[in-house]
Amino acid sequence: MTDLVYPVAILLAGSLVVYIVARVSGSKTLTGAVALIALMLSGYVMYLLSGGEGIGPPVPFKGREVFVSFELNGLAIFMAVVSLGLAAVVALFSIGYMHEKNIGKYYALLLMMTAGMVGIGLAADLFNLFVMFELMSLASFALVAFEDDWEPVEAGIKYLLLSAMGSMVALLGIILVFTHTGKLSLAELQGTQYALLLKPELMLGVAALFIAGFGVKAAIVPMHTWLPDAHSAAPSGISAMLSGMVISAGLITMIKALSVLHGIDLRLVLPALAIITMLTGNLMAWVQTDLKRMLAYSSIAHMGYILAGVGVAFSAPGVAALDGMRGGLYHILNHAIMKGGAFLCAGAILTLIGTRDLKEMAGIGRKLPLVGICFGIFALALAGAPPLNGFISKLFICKAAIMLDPWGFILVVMVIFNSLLSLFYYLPALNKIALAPEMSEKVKQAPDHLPACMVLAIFILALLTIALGVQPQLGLDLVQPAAAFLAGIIQ
Amino acid sequence: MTIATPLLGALVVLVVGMASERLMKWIAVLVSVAAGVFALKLLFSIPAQPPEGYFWIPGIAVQIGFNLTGLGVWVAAIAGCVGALAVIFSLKYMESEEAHYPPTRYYFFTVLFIGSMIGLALTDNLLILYLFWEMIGFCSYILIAYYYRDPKAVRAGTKALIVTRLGDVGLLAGIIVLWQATGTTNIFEITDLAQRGDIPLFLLSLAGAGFILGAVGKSAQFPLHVWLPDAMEAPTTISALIHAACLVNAGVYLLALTYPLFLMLAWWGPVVLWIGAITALLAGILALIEYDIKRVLAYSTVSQLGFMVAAVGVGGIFASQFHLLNHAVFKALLFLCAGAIVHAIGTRDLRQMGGLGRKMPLTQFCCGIGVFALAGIPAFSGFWSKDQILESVVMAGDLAAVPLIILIIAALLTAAYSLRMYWMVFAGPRPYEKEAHDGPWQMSIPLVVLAAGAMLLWRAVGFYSTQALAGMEIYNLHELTLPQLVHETLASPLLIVTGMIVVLWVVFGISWSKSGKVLSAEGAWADALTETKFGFDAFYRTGVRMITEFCQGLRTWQSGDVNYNAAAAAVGLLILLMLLVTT
Repeated sequence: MTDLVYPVAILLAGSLVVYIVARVSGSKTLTGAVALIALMLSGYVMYLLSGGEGIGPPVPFKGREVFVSFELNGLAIFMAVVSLGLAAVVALFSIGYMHEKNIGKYYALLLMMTAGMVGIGLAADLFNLFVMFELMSLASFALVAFEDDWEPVEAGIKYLLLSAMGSMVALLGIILVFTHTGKLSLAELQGTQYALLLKPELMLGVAALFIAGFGVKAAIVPMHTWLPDAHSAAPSGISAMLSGMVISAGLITMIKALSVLHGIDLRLVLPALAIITMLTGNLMAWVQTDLKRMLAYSSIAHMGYILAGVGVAFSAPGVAALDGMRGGLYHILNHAIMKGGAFLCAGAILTLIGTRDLKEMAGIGRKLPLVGICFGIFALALAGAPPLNGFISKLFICKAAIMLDPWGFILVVMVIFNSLLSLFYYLPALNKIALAPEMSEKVKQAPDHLPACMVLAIFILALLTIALGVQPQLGLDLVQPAAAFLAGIIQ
Repeated sequence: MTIATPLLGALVVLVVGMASERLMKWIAVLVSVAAGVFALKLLFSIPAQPPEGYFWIPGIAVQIGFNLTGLGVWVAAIAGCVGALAVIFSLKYMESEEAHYPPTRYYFFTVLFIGSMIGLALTDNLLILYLFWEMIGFCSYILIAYYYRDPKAVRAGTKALIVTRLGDVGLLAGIIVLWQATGTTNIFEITDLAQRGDIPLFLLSLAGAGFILGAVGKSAQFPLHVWLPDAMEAPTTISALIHAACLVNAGVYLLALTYPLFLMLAWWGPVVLWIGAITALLAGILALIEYDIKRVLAYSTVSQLGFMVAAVGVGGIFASQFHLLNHAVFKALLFLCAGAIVHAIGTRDLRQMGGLGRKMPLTQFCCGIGVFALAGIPAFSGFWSKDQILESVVMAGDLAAVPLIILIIAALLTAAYSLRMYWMVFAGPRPYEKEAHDGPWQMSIPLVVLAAGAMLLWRAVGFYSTQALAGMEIYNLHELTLPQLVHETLASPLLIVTGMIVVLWVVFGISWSKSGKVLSAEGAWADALTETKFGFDAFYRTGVRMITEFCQGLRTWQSGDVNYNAAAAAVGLLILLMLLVTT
């Protein structure tokens, strides 16, 4: 059981193979299939490593020649399952969505990005954590600017600049920790003997550096400004990955990094940031007319909800910490499913009518009932309507948040009120797509069928949205160990 | 079983609907009738021990159980039976629309709607109640917006969902507060704890306010009543469902269910009473000047719900639930009558109707019974329950004096607008010229059944009170037999109100038939009132517009310039540092 590098290594090797396959064969179906196989293989190895029967005690691993330090724990499994799963669905969707041109680069980058996310879950020290974080980021810059057009390139550069700034700030924090303690290992730093080496004032500074640095990737307001451009300009499958998982991975990185700071009081900061983030996201989404941009702003709002759960975990003792973390992680899982699904629907519509403008989508739901219905399910789940999955995780978050003193009640009301706000833009969008009086010109001319793989990808996510809402236990089995692990290390 | 039948049935309807629309419709009828029968069966044999619940989410210990007290079972039975009749009525009523609108969507959501309402009434768990609460909200959105080619319908559906969800913010927050305070979401356990004083009063107040907000939204009470009149854009059968069976009853039911919980709060009852009274009055006035037959009925529902809510406020749980039952029957009857009329002549404007009595005798007869019941004419069902409500307000003492007067005025208004509506449709100065006739049997059977109900239901009060009290010891109610009801009612001074209603009818009847003119709102003030509806709509619209403008303003902050973006991130870091240092 010392081979924890394999899940990441398989993905990295897979990205090479995929590129070669694409260059040799030039077929996007074959390339996509190879990418899918790599993802599945990585998942299978992860399953073997975890002992096949779930999650055992943490298993550390240190490579001898190369400095790789991984640890298998609940969080690693959670990250692997969610990112590999979403990547697999996106890979399936992209077979139909992407053009043949540059398809090799696309899948190679997708696998690389996924490798970074799996690595973030596994990383056992600050150095590896940062490397994996950067691996994910680098792949995502290239993917945002993937299409040869001014808008994606501009968005990609903006994303790159801001992320580089954030990474630099976060790296500064890591350096500060390292110079004062001489240690990088998370487990060692979480022990008490090193806590004394960091002075309280320094710890505050490092905390600010971590929150602001990784907060850029996690799209916490006011570090969120790159997100609407990047998420709307990227290919839709990548938007789904970015919104569904990459920003959440940024947050996970932030939590892991913050776990080395002992006894730091984030009681005011994180819930306050959560409220600002969800309000900004929802209010900005309210006035958008571009479907993907609207979904992108809504992702910011959802980061706010997740941050509310995580913030509770950082501020409250014992049970509330576990509850808060569970709510936050469960929302990460659900958000990956429903926002991923919503972006894939947007991508399907974009393929058909060639525009992201909501006004021109009138009646697309009648042309393609399945996409319309699935989009309805995703939109309602995002707005927190029971019995869909978004409701369950928001409920967990509220349940935990009410225990927070003295912010609890305000935080709960803000979360619920924001769900109401989100209806103000989801319902008009839904009305436009499903209940419009007349089809628009573009919709009338659009073909009335989609490649089967796109429909299948959307359908899988819609099914999961309903299943996790009706039977939350399915997701809890995955989330609970991860939440227990994270709640344990931040105490 | 009762819950599962319509919920699973809805799925069957959806699947079959893809294959065959004809078969799907009959399955929908079968499912809804079965649900109605099961609910009725439950009513006649309320088990002493509710069946075992099961754990839904083990991680946070949410247990699904059943609430088989009389309160819930009756609401479920109403939903099941009225729902079944409405679905039968739809067979014919919706036929002409099927070329333009997908019938599968209609039947799927209608059956789901009924099933969710039954589920809501039969659960003992606040979270599950909230789940069904949202589901009926969503079904109503789709069904109100069913005629999607009409932008007004889509707007109305959206408005209904958003306004009711505004109330749900309070409800969910209230549930979570109670959950945190007691560690359970079982309504009976929470009530026990509250009555023993184990819940801090502050938390109880928060929850109480939240629950009022939720009920006000769902039951279309002041000041969130604005969505119900607009919801008239729905197919008439759906209006009947919303008003009589499925949607608006939920709020009254919630208040009645949680009344013992908030007994400790001195302010809770009076606030509920006042909300009910104000709603009853405002809606009564608007019903009197409206010209759209369905909107008249809508305002009348709002007003009658006000009566029920007011009754809960003074502890008249029995009166409010009895009125809920009667109202469900006669309002469903009136809506289906309106549906038959609209189906026959194709307009909803009262001014274009008149003299329809000769052409549609059956509809006239049934509608007449409904109007009698609504106005509270003695010997019809509405009379008895409305009297019970007023009586319970009288018993509340001096504090309730002003609301009592308001309610009496509202009762008189009820009589006036219901007679006016009946007059304009069936008598009226300008007879309707074109061809019109009663509907076919699919439409007539529900009418006759409901009319019989509106006429005779009050005779079942003994049975009702026995059943309604099953398992409700905590409510401190006493059983009421039929002779007692008659005695109480006839011995009460409130008979004067009834007398006034009768006199009002006679005076209006004579003067209108002499002058050939109906009491109609004339003059600028009335037009303005019809138009503005006391300005609530404008108020909310302004609110939404202000937020939208604020958002537009917010957009200028997101200029897309990388320099500003970087600056924002830097400022974020500074703010973080400051926050961390100061705390």
